[in-house]
Amino acid sequence: MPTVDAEDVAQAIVGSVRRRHAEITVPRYLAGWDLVNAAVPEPVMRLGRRLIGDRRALTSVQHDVRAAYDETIAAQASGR
Amino acid sequence: MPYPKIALDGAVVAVTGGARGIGKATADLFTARGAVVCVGDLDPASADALVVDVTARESFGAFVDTVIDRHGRIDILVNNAGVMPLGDFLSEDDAISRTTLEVNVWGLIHGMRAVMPHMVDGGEGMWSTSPPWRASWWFRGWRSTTPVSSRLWDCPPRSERNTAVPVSV
Repeated sequence: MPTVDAEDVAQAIVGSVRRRHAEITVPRYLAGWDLVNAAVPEPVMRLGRRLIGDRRALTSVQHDVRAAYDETIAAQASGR
Repeated sequence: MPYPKIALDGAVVAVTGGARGIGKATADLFTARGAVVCVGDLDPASADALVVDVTARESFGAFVDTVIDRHGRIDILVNNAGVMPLGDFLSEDDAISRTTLEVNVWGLIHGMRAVMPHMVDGGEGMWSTSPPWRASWWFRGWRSTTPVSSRLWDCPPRSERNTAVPVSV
């Protein structure tokens, strides 16, 4: 699954000082997502998302890396 | 009315959640371009970073006051601090969900309210709300807060937006 590096988002943020677009999408090809979502019928979208395996973001995580991050959030959440 | 130009060289930039990840990469890049960068983080990794809990208005206010005391102004706020738990929506602990909303939504609101009045007074500035990266559209933790946080730039009155410039990345 393609991922975006922190440096890519940093480039977009620093670049926004000059260009001043109100919304910037990283990576850029996802900018049309809202349009696609609005125009394509829901059953087709559901099928498409299943075919590209959109749940991989939830199921194919590196659990050792993820566990440390989850612990940080849990510590922050305790008592809320 | 065109947005005011901000020269990166010498610009005062405040970055929340700047101790690691995207916040750190952004702080480093601004520094490399000549900006004066102040990093705030709940868990500051370096001695230079300031402690800020973006979920508490007083904490964000204290962070902003410190930056303005040191450098006289804030030209750019990178409202970056955010969390991204990957829990199942129905079974996720309420405390985790509450934290997500407080950091990813309230954190941005606190930042805008603390910094924008200074930008308006100072005549120019911009803030950047970066947590809702669309790249992570399929991550549930983000998607729950993204629809709100990605539109926050449109909330302040236009008279103020002419000087304080919104950007959502």
